[in-house]
Amino acid sequence: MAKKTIACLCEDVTRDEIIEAILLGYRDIESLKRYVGFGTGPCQGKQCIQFIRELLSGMGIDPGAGITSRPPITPVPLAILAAKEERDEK
Amino acid sequence: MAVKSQNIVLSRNLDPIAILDHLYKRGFDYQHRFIRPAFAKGIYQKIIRRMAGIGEVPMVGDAAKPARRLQADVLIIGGDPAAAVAAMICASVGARVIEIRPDQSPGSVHGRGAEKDESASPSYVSIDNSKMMGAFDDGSIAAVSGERLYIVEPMYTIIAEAGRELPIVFPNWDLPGIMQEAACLALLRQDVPIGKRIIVTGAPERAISLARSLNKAGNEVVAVPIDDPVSGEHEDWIEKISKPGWRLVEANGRNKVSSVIMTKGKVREKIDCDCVVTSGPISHRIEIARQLGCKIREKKWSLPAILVGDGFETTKRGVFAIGISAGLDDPDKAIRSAEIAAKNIVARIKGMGS
Repeated sequence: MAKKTIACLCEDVTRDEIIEAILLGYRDIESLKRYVGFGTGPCQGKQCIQFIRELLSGMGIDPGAGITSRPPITPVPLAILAAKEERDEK
Repeated sequence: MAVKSQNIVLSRNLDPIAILDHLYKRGFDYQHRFIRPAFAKGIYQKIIRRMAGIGEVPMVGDAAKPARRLQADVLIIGGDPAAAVAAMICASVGARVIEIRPDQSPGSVHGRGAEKDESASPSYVSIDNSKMMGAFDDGSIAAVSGERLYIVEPMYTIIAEAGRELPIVFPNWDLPGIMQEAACLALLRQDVPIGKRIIVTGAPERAISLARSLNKAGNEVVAVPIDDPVSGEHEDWIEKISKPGWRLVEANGRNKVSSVIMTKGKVREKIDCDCVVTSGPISHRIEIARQLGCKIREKKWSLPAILVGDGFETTKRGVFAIGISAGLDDPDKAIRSAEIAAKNIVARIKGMGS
């Protein structure tokens, strides 16, 4: 069986693909994310970013700041966000 | 909601297109592979898209309840036990406290927030089983609970979220049968049998304690590879299975994990197993702080954490972080941080009233 080290489960990105991108010159988390696509799935990088930080640190590269966090932090059905608002004094 | 069709022909095990997985071990990138000759790209794409198929999702939406907007003196984003302490202190002086308490989904570790009756004060409201949605530019915070969106407009915010367990990454760690500690504990709580030959690895103390829980529930743990030995007296069987200095470097199996490779220096050992549980590092939840504009401490090797100053206030005025959100793993220090932050807020609220 082929040995594959998945780095990002949501987007099916492997460790090798990330190393390849780093060697191509994408040396910070934000540009790596845009090139490889990790951290763009349902978990929004909560599971994989730390592994990638460690991968970069291990290659002697400062990972710098992580990726920008935007709502929703956890996936939310659009119907809930589209619901009208009621004022509540409680 | 259920996806009715998948990218397979026949069943998952008999799918003939699965041959591509063996022919193209690094992935079948059809967008590039079929790009030559360029003029035939459109035709190729049509064929490939037909092969790939499209998942179908029923178009029936769930009925959502109207969103509710609430005002609070203190909003506590809970999950950490320290949240309960902060809630009680703030509510005891009559401050209007709202606590957002997370759901008990796997991945949430380090306990729960306050039970409602612990803070009997009428000025305390909790939004239970909630999922964090995010922060708006004006500092209001949104969360979803029971098909309803809650928007809280707080004067002060305390972030006291639980940690989040991270995976331990090694070749084939995504095989079925390999799970994280929180998932394993969730299954144990439901009395689900876990395995007959289990490997537990990761943070030494948690791994040993998990091995004990697994054993107690009738599962058999065969090895616990950990970095350092765990001090203290242990049962004989624990001494026998704990492997300080050993590292799990790879898992193998076809449809499910069937063995792992462990190494210690140059020694390599293969152990048969039917389940692997990893006690990964606990990370801080920094997303809401980032969205509120708080500064995050990011060092090369360590886990990013919310930067707090004296009194556990973040770089954003009126926003505090306590417990594991402030990087405090020790429960006593976490409780102390809750007391300091809550008293600080209470003093400010009183100062405004006078």
